[in-house]
Amino acid sequence: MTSRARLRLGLFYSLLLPALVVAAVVAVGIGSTPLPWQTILRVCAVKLLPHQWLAAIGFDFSSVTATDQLVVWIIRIPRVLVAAVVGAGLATSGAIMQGLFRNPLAEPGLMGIGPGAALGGVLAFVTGWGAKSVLPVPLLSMAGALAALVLVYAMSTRGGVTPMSTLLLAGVASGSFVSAVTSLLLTLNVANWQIAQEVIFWMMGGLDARTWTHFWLCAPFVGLGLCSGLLSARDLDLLMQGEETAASLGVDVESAKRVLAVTVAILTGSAVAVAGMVGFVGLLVPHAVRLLLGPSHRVVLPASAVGGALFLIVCDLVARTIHPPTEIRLGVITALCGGPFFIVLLLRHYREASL
Amino acid sequence: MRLEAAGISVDRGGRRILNSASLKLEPGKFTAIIGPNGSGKSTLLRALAGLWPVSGGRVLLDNRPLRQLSRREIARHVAFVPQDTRIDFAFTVAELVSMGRHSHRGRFSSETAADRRAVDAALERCDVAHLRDRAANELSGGERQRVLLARSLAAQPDIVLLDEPTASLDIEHALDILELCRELARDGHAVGVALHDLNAVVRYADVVCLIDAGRVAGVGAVPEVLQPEAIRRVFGVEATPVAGADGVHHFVFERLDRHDMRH
Repeated sequence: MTSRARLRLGLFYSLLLPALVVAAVVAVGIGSTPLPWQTILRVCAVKLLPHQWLAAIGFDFSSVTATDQLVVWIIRIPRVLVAAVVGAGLATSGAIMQGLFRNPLAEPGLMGIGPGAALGGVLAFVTGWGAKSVLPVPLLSMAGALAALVLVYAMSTRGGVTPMSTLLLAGVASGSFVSAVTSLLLTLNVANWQIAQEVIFWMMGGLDARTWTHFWLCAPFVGLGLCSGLLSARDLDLLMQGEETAASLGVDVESAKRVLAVTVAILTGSAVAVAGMVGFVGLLVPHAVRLLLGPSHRVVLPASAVGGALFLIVCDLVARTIHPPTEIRLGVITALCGGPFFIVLLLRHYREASL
Repeated sequence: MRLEAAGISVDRGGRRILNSASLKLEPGKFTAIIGPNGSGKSTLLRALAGLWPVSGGRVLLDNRPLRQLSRREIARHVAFVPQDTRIDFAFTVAELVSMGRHSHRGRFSSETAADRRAVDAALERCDVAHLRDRAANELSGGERQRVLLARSLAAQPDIVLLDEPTASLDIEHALDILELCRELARDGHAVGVALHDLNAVVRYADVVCLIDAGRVAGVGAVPEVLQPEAIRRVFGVEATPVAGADGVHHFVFERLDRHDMRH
């Protein structure tokens, strides 16, 4: 790494990590009941630190009301954390997809993974299981993501070899088919407005009423996906040089591709499972990161995770505060913020390139 | 180390494109692989590098079947530089060349001193050290070819295979690459290069392997194999040897029909 690249990387994290903390605190503070940061800090202290310690420093327990605890700890913090984890997961899976397909426009939907996850979630709603507890929707959508991947991969593999072009075609075709099934289910259930509304909202993505359960359902899988992605980061760099070159430099191409595809399915599946369909994060964040920090995946993957977390916390904050008391759906906001930002980045990039 | 194709056949898409071809690449020798377009030069190189499976015969690395070795193990000994030198992404030259160390690195380990030394040596050797912080997708064709050769040398291979490395280069850069291959052979590498320029073969290669329609039509020392008669049979052109100032013969080529008309 050149000294200039190292400086850029240092600058990136020294700006983004504090921004992430500030955004999280602000997001917890803002809402129908605004809360000052001191209250947030006090609630966190009561929840996280042993009470003997707090008593020892003369902490006033009566300053933390039950309402504060409810709003901060039960309602807002899980939501912000889920936003962060989902953003990290989607951005990382987007970065992996773009490396795998050697195409900056690749996104998790391309291998049928996104549509598969959506169908899983919608199945949970229309069967009524989704209404009974919080678990069926996320679990079925994770299962849907993995099932879609296995199906698409099996269809495009001949004699242990999976050409990326075939994978892409099979993925897009299956994706359209699966989306059509989802639409069909929605159409059949549109008479039951309760279910239809839930499905539509879920498909637009959103983080309303997310709980600690959702966080714990999603975070371990995103963590797993991040680790697996980081361990394959060099393989991914080499795959970007073309499969033949990667093989000649010592990459076991087919097994590397399988590991990366499963990683994408885990990341996307667990993100969609708790947030519904949130688009644009996986496209926008890695692209911005690559423009700033270069293409090496050992840099791009963790930086995308941090950037994605920040981006989704901010988008969710906007979604729930811009038009009270109605919440705008998160997927709508990511596309509305993301689209123009993306275009500005691209234009700037090409202007610099042409100078 | 030596790399040997022992009667290998390669099928692609139901068609046999290489038919029981045998060739030994010996340490210290520059072996040129020549033949018309589509005769199977690139296929032979890919089979030798273990990148394409063989349907008959065996590729042997120091008498061990290549098939039994992992990709990593092969990559530590056999380097392959493809003809297509396009680089799409803005990796720096140093990043690109250090990718050559992949087969020596563990999944969890970071760059070691040995990695850095190998990368520096490869950059030096291919005369691209001054480009190390440049974005590789902004280099010229000659620079790109040298950078990609440096990447494969960073793996410290014993055998270096190049597929038409001079195809898209101007004469100066083509000579640079050929000189470099010559030097690699002199240092004890087994070098196998697919080439179109027969005069370059005469000047630089020790051994030549002539391929015609998927079969080896001749293999041996350059003066023995590169006879006007063999060139006429395989390439369909008349080759007239001309003695150069330094005593080395080179060829002047003419199409057969014109040649016949004159006589």
